[in-house]
Parts: sequence; C-alpha cells; structure tokens
Amino acid sequence: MTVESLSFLEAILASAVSAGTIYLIASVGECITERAGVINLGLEGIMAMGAITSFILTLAYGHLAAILGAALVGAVFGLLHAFLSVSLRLNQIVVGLAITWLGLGLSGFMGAPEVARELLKSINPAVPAFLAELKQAPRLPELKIEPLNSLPVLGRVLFSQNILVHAGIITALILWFILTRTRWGLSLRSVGENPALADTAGVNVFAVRYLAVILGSSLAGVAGAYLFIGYQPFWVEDLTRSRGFIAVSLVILSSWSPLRAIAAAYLFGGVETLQFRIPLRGFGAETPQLIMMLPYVITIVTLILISLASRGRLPAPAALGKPYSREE
Amino acid sequence: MFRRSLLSALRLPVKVERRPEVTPRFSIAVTLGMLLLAFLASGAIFQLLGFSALHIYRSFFTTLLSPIMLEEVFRRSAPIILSAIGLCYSYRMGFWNIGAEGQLYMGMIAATGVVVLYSAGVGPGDALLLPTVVAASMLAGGAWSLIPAALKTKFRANEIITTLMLNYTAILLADYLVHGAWKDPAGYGFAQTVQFPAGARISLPGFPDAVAYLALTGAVTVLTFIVFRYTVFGFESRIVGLNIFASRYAGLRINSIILRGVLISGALAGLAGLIVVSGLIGRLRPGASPGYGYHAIIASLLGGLYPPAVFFSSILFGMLLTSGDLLQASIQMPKSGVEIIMAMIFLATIVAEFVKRHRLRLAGGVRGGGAT
Repeated sequence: MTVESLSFLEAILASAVSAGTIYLIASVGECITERAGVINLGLEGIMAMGAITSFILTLAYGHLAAILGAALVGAVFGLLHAFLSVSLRLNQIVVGLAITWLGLGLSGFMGAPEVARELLKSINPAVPAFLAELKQAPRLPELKIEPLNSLPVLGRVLFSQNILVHAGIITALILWFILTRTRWGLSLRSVGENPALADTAGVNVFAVRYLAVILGSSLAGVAGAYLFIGYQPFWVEDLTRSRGFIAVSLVILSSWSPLRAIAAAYLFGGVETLQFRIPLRGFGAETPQLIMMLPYVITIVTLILISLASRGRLPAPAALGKPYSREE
Repeated sequence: MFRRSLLSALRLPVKVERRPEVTPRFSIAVTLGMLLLAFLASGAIFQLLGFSALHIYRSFFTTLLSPIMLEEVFRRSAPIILSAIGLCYSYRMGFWNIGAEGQLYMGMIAATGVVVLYSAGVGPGDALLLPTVVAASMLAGGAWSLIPAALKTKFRANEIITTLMLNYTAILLADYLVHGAWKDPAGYGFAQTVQFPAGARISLPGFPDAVAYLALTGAVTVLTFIVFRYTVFGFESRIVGLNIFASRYAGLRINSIILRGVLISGALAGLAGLIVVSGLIGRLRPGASPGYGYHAIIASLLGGLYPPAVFFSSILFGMLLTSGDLLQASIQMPKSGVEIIMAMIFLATIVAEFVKRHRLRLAGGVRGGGAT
C-alpha cells in the first residue's frame, strides 16, 4: 500500500469516526431506553436542544459548561417524556413526536440571531452579545494522546480526535457492561421484557423506566452538543437533519446492544462522510442533492436488510412501546 | 426500603381512575380547555425569551378580522386540511405515516413536471392541463406513500422511520430539480421553475382562490366522513386499527386494506402539493412548503381523526401560520416562533387524551411511605 492511499484511508476512517460519534452517543442512550421498554422518538428534538444549548453556553462559559448544560437540558426533556409516557401512560410514539416538535421549534427559535443575542446577554453579560449573531462557536480542541497518536492509521483515526469521541466509546463500553453483566442491568432488561414479572420480583418498574428515559435523553443532548461544538460549529436551521431518527433506527441495526451500536454508528458516520467525499471526485459537485440523499436511502435499505436477515423476527424487548400499569 | 420510597415519590398524590364513559361534549370541552392551556404556556415561553405574549395573542386574532387576512388563512389552511384528512386514513389503521410532507413534495414535483413539459410545448393541451396536473400530483403522492406501506407489509419496516427518511429524499429531489434541469432559463439565475399558467390552477371562475379551496377541501372532508361512517372500507380500516390480530382472525385482508388507506393519504397530500405549487406560490422553488405535511399531523390528531373536527383544527394551523408572518413583519419574531405554539398544541392534544379518559380522586388514607 502506498503512503498516499494509506493516508486517504486514514482520512476516511477518521472522518467516519468523527461523524459517527453523533450517532454513537445518541443511539447508545436509546439502546438503554428501549431495553427498559420505552421508545424515545424525541431524540431528534432533544439533539437539536443539546446543540443550541452548547452553542450559547460555549460562548458564555466554555466547552465544559456547554456539554454539561446540554446533558441537563436533555434530562429535562427526558423527564417530560417519562412523565407523559410512563406516568400518564400515553402513546410513546405520539409523545416522542411531540417532544421532537418542541425541541426543533424551541431550538430554531433560540438560534435566531436576535433571540440568541439576548440569551447570551442574559446568561453572561460579560461576553459581547454580538458573538451569538455570528452563529459560530470555537470547536472542541483535538486531543492528541501521546504516544498513541503516532501509531499508523489508529493514531489518526482514534487518538487525534476530541474528547467526546473517546467519551462516546467509553460510555458505550460502560453501558454495555452494566446492561449485560450487573444486577442493575438485569433489572433494567427485565423491565423491558416483562414488567409485571419484574414488579413482582421487587423491581420498581416506574423508577427504572424514568431513569432509562432520562439517561437516554441526556445522552441525546450530549450528542447534540457534539454535533455542534465537536463536528460542525456553525449554527443553521434544522442542524440535526433527521440524525436523531437515524440514531433510533441504528438501535435496530445494532439489535439493542450498546457494543454493536459502536460499529453501526461508525458505519453510518462513513455514509455521512461519503456526501463530502464523492463530490470531490467530480460527481455531483454542483448539485450535491442526490448524494445528500444517501444517509436516508441507506437507512431504509438497512431496515429492509435487517428484516430479511432476521426473517421478520427482531430481537426487540418484548414490552417495547407498551405502557405499564399495575392492576390496582 | 429505598425502592419503595422512590416509588411513592413518583406516584401522583391523588388516585387516578378510568372514567366509565366519555361524552362528546365533555371531550370537546377538555380539548378546548387544553388548547387554552397550550396558548398560555407558549405565551409564558415567549415572555421568557423576550417577546410580548399579549402582542402575539392579539396578532393571532387579528387574522380573523379583515377579509384579506381571512382569505390568506383559508388559502394556507387548504394544503393542511387535505393532508390532515388524508392522514386520518392512515392513522385510523394504526399506520404512523409521518410522510405527508414528502408526499406533498412529490405532488409538487409531478405537477411542476407537467407544467415544465407544457411550457416547452410538449404534453397536454390547454383543456387537459388541469386534469393532468391533478392526476399527476395525486398519483405521485400516492406512489410515494406506497413505498413505506409496501415496506411495512412486506418487511415490517418501521413506517415512522421510512416515511421520515422519504420526506428528506423528496425535499432533496425537488431541490435537485429546481437547481438543475427544471431551472427557469428566464429566472435571472434564481433556483425556481417557470410560473404555473392560469390553466393549471384550481379555481372557481368569479370567486377568490380561498373560496375555491374551501369548496374543494370541504367536499373532501364530507366525502371522508361518509367513507368512514358508511362504507365497508371505512369499517374495515377502523377494525384493523383497533385490533390487528383480531382482524387477521376475522379474515380481513389486512395488507390490502393498509395499502389502500395509505394510498389515499398520499394522494391527498399530493393534491395538497398541487395547491401549494400552483396557487400559493405559483412555481416550485426550494423550501416551497413550510412544513404543511407536518402541521397536518398535529391537526389530524387534534381533531381526533374525526373529519369535521380535523377540518377546523387545520384552519387553526392556517391562522397560526398567517399570524406568524404578521409577527415576523411587525416585531421581527423568528418564523420558528409559531412552531413552539404548535408543539404546545401537540402536547396539549396528547395530554387531553389522558384527561378525557381519567378522573382524579383525592387519595384519602391510601398507603403511605412509612408502612414498609
């Protein structure tokens, strides 16, 4: 392999990991939520809220505040979802769509220059407010991990990325371990498979579901923060472009396992970077719309392939989407 | 011990029971009450973000006060009514079609394709132009909706995901065409197609467009009401939505019923696209729809999938969009402001479902935390 093609491979893999991290953080969280029996279609709107929060908080107080703030905003939206879907036992699909709507509307409104300016002014008056009108924030710095970053391929793909890329992988590993190897994980899975039985065994179904939805939502908030400060630090309307919904479908592709979610997310990160790579080779340079369809079309094709491979019997949690009520 | 106390903290302090029966009058009262709450809540959000809530409420009601405004309200409601009535066919069967927006875009694309051919001197003559664009838009919208329906029935692919993905695909396709092959050569380089000729527009001679649209959408609403209430198809589609397993045992041909219902949804959304592209903006350009297909989702749920109610809740969304334009012009409120009100209405709609079916009773002396 020549040096040139090696560095081309490196570049592609590095950008696949970089783009895939958006999906990874969000879909790992959704894995946990769904394993507890709740489907959260609010991911799209929560990601958008995470992104706008990180935009304004980065300008006001820096990156750390931005990430924590995005997680907190995500958790608040998760609390709302859990109240409606777990306590009031409303249809999870409709609840999720409403949450998405709220997140997209609110984030679009907050991102408008005149509103963003006022928000920044009221959050931290010491920072010049016009900064918010520029729609940009400093990107998360690359973290060069010595001496691993001088490894061939891996050095550039994994060890010269920003901290949220690593946090994404580590979160996936930790959550996989908790889910499959601990008592907590067992309780959570039992709530998703057979809540009545879990309830009889002394597991608090409501509390587990609340925590699972809130955890998944706050990770979606962080995914939104990563999308903005880690990937594309320029605010546009509809920044998320359905990535939250793609993350939900990646949970199916990874058959509800946080470990397989890593592979699925990077795969789709690769698809996303094709959008920028193919026009460089001359095809669709002027009208990139056909190539921009790729993630959407490939998501649909993936769903078909999964269905064919599993012969229509997906390993979904048995109680997924079903509200639980104690017959009192 | 920790578990139990956490549990009682998460429980409501009052006892919630199922309400034995829900009368229509009660149900309407709850919906209206929740709508009021939604308006108050969004007013609070705007006030927090630095916009006067009172100003926003006032502009919402001024849309009803002048004939010109009212005309605009009805024009903008038309695509929402058609899409929302169409969505009722899908939702009654439990098919979560989120794809009206994409189907609407395909309708716009097909109608524009006919007009592009027509202005190049090919295709239908003057007399056949309107029937051709109507057929093209409905066929295109219907065909686009058949993709997720087929994927659902054949592969059990989640229709929420597939319809959403197809929305983006259709929007990008429209973008591609107006930037490329269909760009108007006399359009000073703007990404837009040629203007729709008068013969390709839905109109009633001697009346403003708003009246023609009201007649058309009213007719579709009444027809749908009849289909739902008095036809075998209407009955079957309801049974499929209520219990898919039971209907399979009853020998219903579920796949065919789903395909037919979703096809009608898509065709009506496609027709909505024709109204947008021929009447509201007169040509295809990027971002031609501000999300009429999405607004229709809330409108159909707010109307409880009952066609006359869906008609009126769609007009509410027409009012919101019109007042949104007013507010943008008068106090520079960002366009997505009305999206917040819509989200609140959406939340209010689903909470209303809960309120209708339950009633509260103070839990006197029910087990407390100390018992364990």
